[in-house]
Amino acid sequence: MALTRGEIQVLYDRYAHVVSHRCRTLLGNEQEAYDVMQDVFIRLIQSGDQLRGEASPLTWLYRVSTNLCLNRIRDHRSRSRKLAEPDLTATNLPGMSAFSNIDPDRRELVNSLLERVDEETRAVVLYYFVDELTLEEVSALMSLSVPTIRKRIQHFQGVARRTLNLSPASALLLCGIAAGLPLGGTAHRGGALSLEWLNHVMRVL
Amino acid sequence: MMPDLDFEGISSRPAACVSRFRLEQYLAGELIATEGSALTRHLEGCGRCRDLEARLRQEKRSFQSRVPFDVFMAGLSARLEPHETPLEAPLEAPLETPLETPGAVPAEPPAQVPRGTHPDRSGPLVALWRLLSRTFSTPAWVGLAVTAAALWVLLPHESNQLEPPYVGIRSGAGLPGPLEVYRYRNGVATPAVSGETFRAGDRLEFIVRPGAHRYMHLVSVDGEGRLTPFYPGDGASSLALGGSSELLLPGSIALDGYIGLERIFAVFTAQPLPWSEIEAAAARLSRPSGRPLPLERIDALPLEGADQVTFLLVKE
Repeated sequence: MALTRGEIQVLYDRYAHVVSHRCRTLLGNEQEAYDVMQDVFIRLIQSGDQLRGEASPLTWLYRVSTNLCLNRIRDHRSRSRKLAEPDLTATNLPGMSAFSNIDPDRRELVNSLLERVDEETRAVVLYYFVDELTLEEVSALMSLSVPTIRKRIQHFQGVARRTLNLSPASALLLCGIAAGLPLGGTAHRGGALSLEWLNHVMRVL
Repeated sequence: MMPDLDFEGISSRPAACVSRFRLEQYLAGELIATEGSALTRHLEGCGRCRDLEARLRQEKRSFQSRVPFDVFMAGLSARLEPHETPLEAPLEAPLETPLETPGAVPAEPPAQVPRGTHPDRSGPLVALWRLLSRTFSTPAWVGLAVTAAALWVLLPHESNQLEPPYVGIRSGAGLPGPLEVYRYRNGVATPAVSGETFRAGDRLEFIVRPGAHRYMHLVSVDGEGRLTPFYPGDGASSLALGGSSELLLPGSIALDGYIGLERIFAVFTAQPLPWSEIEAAAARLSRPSGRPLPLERIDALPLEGADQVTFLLVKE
């Protein structure tokens, strides 16, 4: 059952900036983030009944925005997979200025690691490493048990270790780096990737 | 066998501190009283979390000044299907977290439209939908729509899909063309064909294959003769392609509410082309007096020394 304009205004006031920030963090592109934020609110308007089943609208919004961002990244990747990487130093592409500060190899590493796991694991990785939620919070957000969340993280860690032929400890740290790094092209500004921590990880590796 | 690792140890967040998500729940009033009180006490003694709280409040102010509610709603309305705009329908049951509707909220649609869009105009399909919904009960007109759709599939009809014309630039037989267009609608991306119908709020993404060309303008001209730069977004000089043989252009272009034909032109050149030349070429397009540009028949901007490919949008 759809929401009234007044109710949407309340949800806008409480949550639109949160969804906007989340989409920007995951996509790294202001325009795409705004687009996905609108998608999230369209789903919200259309999903009044689902929303009523949630103890926390924010939980619902986090889950939907994460899924839509992951879909957008997957679609974008599948279309650009075989395209030549543009020579960014020679272009003036709009909206790509954020790429200039990112090591393309590292961005590719992030994407290639995340592509090797299923979508549910990808979401767990984002919640755990990027959002720094506790295992219990991820569990509540995804309606999965804590042991399941732990297994998903271990799975991702294992994929990283096998892919990069690393020790388990290094792989664990790398998982954090991978998840904390930009998925769509801009630097993650949250706490998961402090400079100090990154330096420590690079020494370990 | 994977050793058991201390996952909590890798977080940069001190164990006593809360996550951003938790703090957002707190600020949205979603925590139960005991949890909220505990967090309030924590904030009193934790500079790190207080800083984060201040940052979240600042982000909210910044977002709401950049995207006021009316603009936000206008953007949503433009993207909703005609049958998906019952914004006045009440909730049947309250949310678990009650919504405190602020003051008097105007019931009429927002007058403001997002920057960069034309005023929304209801097309014939919208008018038809409104007429159907007023005339028939829901099951009746849904049945009519299903019947019409079935007839459309079963009966022979003339396709409105046109081949994109190429002027001076072609791929080899069987190879993808120099301009590939994808349409995003409600979060789903599909390849688009020149001559298809599009709606306000649809977003377009482009892959270009410029061959030996080094520079490009991607622009659109609508039936009123209005020229809009897509890439680069500010017009300015040409987009430098950096020698790429294929390039997925970053971001996407949102379609406005203009109803009628609109044609996209990808103009490839060996050297940068000033925006003024694009403007002059668009102004030279021949427009019959008092009628829209015949975009269905125009296959290039009148420009010397540029190779072009175009794509027709039928906007409803």
